Amino acid sequence: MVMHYKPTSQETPSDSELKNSSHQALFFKAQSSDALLDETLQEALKKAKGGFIEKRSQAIADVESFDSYKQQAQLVKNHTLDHLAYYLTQFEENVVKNGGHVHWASTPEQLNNIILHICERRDAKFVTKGKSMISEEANLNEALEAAGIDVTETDLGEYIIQLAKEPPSHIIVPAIHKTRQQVEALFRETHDLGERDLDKISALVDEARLQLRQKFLDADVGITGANMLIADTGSAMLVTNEGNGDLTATLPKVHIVTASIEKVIPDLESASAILRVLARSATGQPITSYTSLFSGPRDIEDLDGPDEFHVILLDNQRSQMLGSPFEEMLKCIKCGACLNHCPVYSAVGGHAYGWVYPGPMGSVLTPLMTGLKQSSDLPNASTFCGRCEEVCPMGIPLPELLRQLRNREHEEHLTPWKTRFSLQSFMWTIQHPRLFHWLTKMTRLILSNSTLTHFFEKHLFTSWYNSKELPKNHSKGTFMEQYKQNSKQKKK
Amino acid sequence: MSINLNRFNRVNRKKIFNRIERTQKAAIPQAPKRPPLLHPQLDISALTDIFLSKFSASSSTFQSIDCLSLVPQLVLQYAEKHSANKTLVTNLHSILTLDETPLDWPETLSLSPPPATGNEAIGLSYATTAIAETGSLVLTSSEKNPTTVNFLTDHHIIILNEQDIVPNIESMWERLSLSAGNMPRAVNIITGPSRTADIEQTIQLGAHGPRSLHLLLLTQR
Repeated sequence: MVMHYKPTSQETPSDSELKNSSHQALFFKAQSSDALLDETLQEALKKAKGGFIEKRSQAIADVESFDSYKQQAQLVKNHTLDHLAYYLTQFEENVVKNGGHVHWASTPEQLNNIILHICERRDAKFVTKGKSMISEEANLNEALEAAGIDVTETDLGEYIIQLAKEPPSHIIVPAIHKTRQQVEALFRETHDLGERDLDKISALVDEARLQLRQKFLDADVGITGANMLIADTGSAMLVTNEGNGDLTATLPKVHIVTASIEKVIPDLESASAILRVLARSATGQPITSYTSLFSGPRDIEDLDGPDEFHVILLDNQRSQMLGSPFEEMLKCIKCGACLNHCPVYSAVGGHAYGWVYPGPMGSVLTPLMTGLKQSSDLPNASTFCGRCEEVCPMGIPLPELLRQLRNREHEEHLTPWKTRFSLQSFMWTIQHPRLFHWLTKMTRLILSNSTLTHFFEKHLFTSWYNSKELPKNHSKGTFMEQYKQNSKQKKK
Repeated sequence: MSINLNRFNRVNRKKIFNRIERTQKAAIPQAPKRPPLLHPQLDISALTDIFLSKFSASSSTFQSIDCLSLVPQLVLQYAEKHSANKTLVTNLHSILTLDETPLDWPETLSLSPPPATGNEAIGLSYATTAIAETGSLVLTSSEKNPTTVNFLTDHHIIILNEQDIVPNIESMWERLSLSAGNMPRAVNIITGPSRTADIEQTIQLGAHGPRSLHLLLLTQR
């Protein structure tokens, strides 16, 4: 008996909420067709192709047993999900012990409201942000801007897409779809540059450094994400390469951490196990440049650091996944390996998926978080080749989860009538052996006739056969015909 | 926007916990026992060599010193080589060497007290401990080691006592012996200079933080 996950009606986002979050996951098919024809995007994707795959496989070859690392990390996550309530409670207690505050948000809108409340109380005009997928779920920037607050993304990739007014197209390399020429054009449009040369990538990085440095210094509130929350010490752990997260967490008067509830883990020993697989799977590094632990506001003798520390914990459907067939998805550490290895993602890029999480993990998460009805193409945006599951450090059975979503789609009558009709006709046919055998006989005859196959390819199903050919059949008969023939001969 | 944040949190917390506890047998059980985890083992006799080879692989440089009194001259040399601006921000200017003599700072270096403001070229800190497994330096925030020095300067120089190198990430946590209520505000595990590959996946050093990282390794005489 297959259990099916169903969100309770009151926690499912309403249509108006979806419209507000500029939800475009419904249009995967059209968007992916556009993406395939977008030459600049294809150029950017081509440049990205292979790099991550090579670096990851090198990083894994460099250690004695990556499989054993994966096992340890999975042990941690399985154990934590079994005792999530306990560890969340312990985390909350310890943050308070460290002098910080914990807030709880069921929905992304609630997360935004809490942040706006804190900003208003501290009379914040300028906010800097480190990379946070949770704030992307909540579309936080829009909410802050609507409240008249100047918000700046400080991760270089996030900064670029903020200037371009686009969502991220990759969970760890948000601007992977932009070429250097596009970045230069964006900087020329928005920065006061004069005739300065921005030809080299190093010049672009320096220009962003210069612009963002002032933003860091001016910020009243800094918002970061968290890769892990440590229950035992009440800390948020942040894994970055640029150092922007650390500046965001250190310079403003207030540091707000946005994280989802499944990010909590028991202790620092557990964190070590996850660190060992995280950077290797994501960027192919043994460890990133900066791994930082933030545990509250500044101490009395500290010379820098914020005087207020908040952690906002977002649920957004995750507690519903717990105990459902989709619980495995809560083990995701957002490394992006499944995106980098996905043939579909590599062909169409992240924007086609229409929401903040692209690739195989997004095709599972988006329907669960925003409703299957609004993203019914996504479970089908997979060839089921299985590479995502193979490279996932947490061993999440992504193809199986996508298959379950397809089942649910079929049961809820969300699949198009053409698909349903074809499937049902097929079911009916194979339940009638005589008809089935007669049809295979006919098919074989058609396939062995080149005039007929030519007619099908060139005139009847032209778009399908643009890139494919019908199999040519020159056999002596269908499988059953040959089987019968052979058994007769043997008897003789 | 006026919400009663306390009430808001209480209500939401309850809702979230109700949903979680629906699936978990005991509501809030006594401390669950985490399964034991394996730690990678390293050759203890070669800790320094392993550490230095991993550390260098992160585009960082190092010099061995046998006495703290060498620090001011080496910092000056580094500044002369890497930067037009010879300002140094540190709270270690008054540390004493083993024989309790104060450090002698050259006048060509202009010292400024922390926190760092972004105008200083060089930052000087000390690492509480270092991890051989990953080649990382671990800095804990304190009055002597303000976090801004680690991230706002163009070049970061860190002093490490060779004895403080530990084998793996787990032994580093053990060495720091951290507990809730008694945490440094920030613990920074630093492995190389700031970097980004956000434009066309081309690695560039010095995205927001230091463009270079230099280690002064204090060895036993």
